[in-house]
Amino acid sequence: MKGFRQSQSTLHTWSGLLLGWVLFVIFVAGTAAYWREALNRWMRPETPRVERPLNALAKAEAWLNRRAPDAKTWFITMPTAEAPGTYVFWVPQPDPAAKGRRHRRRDTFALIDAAGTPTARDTRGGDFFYRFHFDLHYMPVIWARWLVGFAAMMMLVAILTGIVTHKKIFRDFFTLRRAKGQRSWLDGHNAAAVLGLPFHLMITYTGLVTLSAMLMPWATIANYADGTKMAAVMFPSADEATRTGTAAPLPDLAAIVRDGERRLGGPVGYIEVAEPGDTAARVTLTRASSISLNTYGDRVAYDAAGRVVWRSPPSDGARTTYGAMIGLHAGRFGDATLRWLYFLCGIGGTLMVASGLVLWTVKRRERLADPSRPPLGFRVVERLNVAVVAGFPLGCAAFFWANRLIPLDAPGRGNREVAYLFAAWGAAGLVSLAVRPRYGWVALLGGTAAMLAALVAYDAVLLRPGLANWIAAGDWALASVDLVLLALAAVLAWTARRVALYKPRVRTVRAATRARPAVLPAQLEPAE
Amino acid sequence: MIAAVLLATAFLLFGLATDRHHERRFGRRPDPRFVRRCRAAAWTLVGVALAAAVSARGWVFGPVAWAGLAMAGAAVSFLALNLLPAPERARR
Repeated sequence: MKGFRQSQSTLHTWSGLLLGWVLFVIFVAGTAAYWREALNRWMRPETPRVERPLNALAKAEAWLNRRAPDAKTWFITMPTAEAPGTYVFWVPQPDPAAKGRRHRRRDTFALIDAAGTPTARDTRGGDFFYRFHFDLHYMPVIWARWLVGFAAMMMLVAILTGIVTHKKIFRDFFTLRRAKGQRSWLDGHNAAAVLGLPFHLMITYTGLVTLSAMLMPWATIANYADGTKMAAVMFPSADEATRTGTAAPLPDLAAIVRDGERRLGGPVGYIEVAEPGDTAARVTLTRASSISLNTYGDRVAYDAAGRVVWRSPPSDGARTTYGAMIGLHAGRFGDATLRWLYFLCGIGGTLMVASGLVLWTVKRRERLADPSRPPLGFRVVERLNVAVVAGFPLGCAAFFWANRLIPLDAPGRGNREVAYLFAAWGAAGLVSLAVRPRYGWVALLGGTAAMLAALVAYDAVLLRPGLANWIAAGDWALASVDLVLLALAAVLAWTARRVALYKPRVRTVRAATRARPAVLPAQLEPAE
Repeated sequence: MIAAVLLATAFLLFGLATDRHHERRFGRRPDPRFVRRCRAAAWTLVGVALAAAVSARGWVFGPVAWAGLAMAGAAVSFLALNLLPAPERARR
C-alpha cells in the first residue's frame, strides 16, 4: 500500500500545484459571487432600495415600452428587495439588411431602478465575480470554460488523492501544532480541507456538472441528433409567437405576475415577453430559483389578453437532478443563514488552496541544499504564490476603488473598472518579481488591507451613505459588505504584520522555514 | 438554531475525546470509558441535530443546512480547542 499512497501523494502535489493558482482565483471569485446581489447594490450606492417589487416592475415595463416598443422579445428579471432594480434585456426584430452582423449586447441591456430610470453608475458589480468565476476575462469564453473545467477536474483529483495521501487527516482532525513550521502549515491545510470537505467535494463535483455538457458532449450527441431538440427537452417552452402586425395594448404585467405566483406556487423569477405590443404577444413566467433546490423553475405562459395558454410539463428525474446540482452549487435558494455558511465554506476552500500552495514552498525549502540560492523552479513558484495569493485580492480592492472614483459619466465605465482590477493585479505581479518574496507578501497584503479599510472610511465620510447610514436604515446587506471588507482588512493586516515581524530561527537541523510558521495557518487570508 | 448549538457541542465532545486535547485541558490522558461515552454522546447529538434541521427547514433544505452547520460547528470547536488558552493548572 505504501507505493500506492506514494503515487497518490505525487499526484496530489502536482495536480494541486499546477492549477492551484487558477483554482485560487476561481475560489475567490466564486466566494465573492455568493454576495452577487449584495455587491450589485453595494457598487451602485446611490440607487434607492426596491421597496415594492411590483411597482418597480411596472416602471421597468413603461421604460421598455418607450425604449424598445417593437422588440422581438423582452427579458425581464423580476425585481426583488435584494436587487438594485430590474434587469431588462431585449432582442430587436431581426433585420434582414443587417444579417450576419451581431448586435452588441450592451446596447440592449439596462438596469432600471425602482424610480423607473436606468441606474447612474455603469458597473459590472457583483456580476463580474459571477462571470469571472467560470468565464475568466480577456479570453474567449469557450477557452476559459475549458480551462476552468480542467482546473475543476484537477481539483477533484487533488481532493480525492488528498484523502488517500493524508489518511490520518480524520484522526488528526482536531490537531493544530502551532509554531512548528511545516507541521503547522500541514495541519492548517488539513484543517481547512477536512472542515469543509463535504463542501469542497460538493462544490467541485457540481461545478463539473454545470460544465458537463461541454466537457462530455458524447451523451448529448448519442441521444440527440439535433442539438435544438436537446434544448427543447431541457428547457421546454411554449410555441413561438408569430407577429400579426395588429397593435394591441400591453398586458398588465403586474396582474399577470400576481396570478402566476399563485399558479407556480412561489415567487416569479423571470418574465419573458414575446412580441410586445402585438395581438400575438405572449408572456412567459418562470418561477424564481429561490424557493426550490432545482434551479429550473416551472413556467407558465399567457397570451395578450392575460389567459393561460401553456404550462411547462413536469420535470423528469434527470432534469431535476441536473437542476438541483446547479442549485446546490450556486446556493441561490439560500436565505441569509445558508448564504453565510456557503460564504464561510468558500473562504475555507480559498484557504485550503492558498495554504496548499504555500506548503509546497515551505516543504521544499527545508530540503534545499543551499537555501540562499534556491533553484529556478522554486523561485518561480514562490513568486507566483505572492503574485496570485496576495496580488489578486489587491486587484479586487482596486476594482472596488475604481467603482467609487471613476466619474459617473465616463464612457465605458464598467469596463474601465475591470481594467483597473487587472492593471492593479499586473502591478502586484511586477512587485512580486521585483522584491524578495517576504517583502512582497508584506507589501501586497498590507496594501490590500489599507485599501479595503480606507474604502470603508471613504464611503462613510465622503460618499455617504456609508456604513453608519446603512446600519441606521437597517440595510444589513450593504452593511455586511462593509463589515466583511473591514474584517478582511483586519485579517490581512494582521497576517502582513506577522510576516514582517517573523524572524527565521537560526538554521538548525530542521532548517528555518519561510515566513509565518507561527501563524495559525488557517488565517492565511480569506480574500474577497 | 438549535441544530447549530447541538452540532458545535457534538464536535467539542469529539475533540475532547482525542488524547492530545484531553491532556491539554485536563492534564491526563482520557480513560477509554470516557472516550467511548463522549463519542456516543457526540454521534447522538449529530443525529438529533439532523432531525432539528429537517423539522425547521423541511427535507429539501434541512440536510443542506445540517451539513453546513456541521462544518461551522466543527470549525468553531476546532478554533476553540486550539486557540483558547488551557486552564493554568492543566498545562504541562
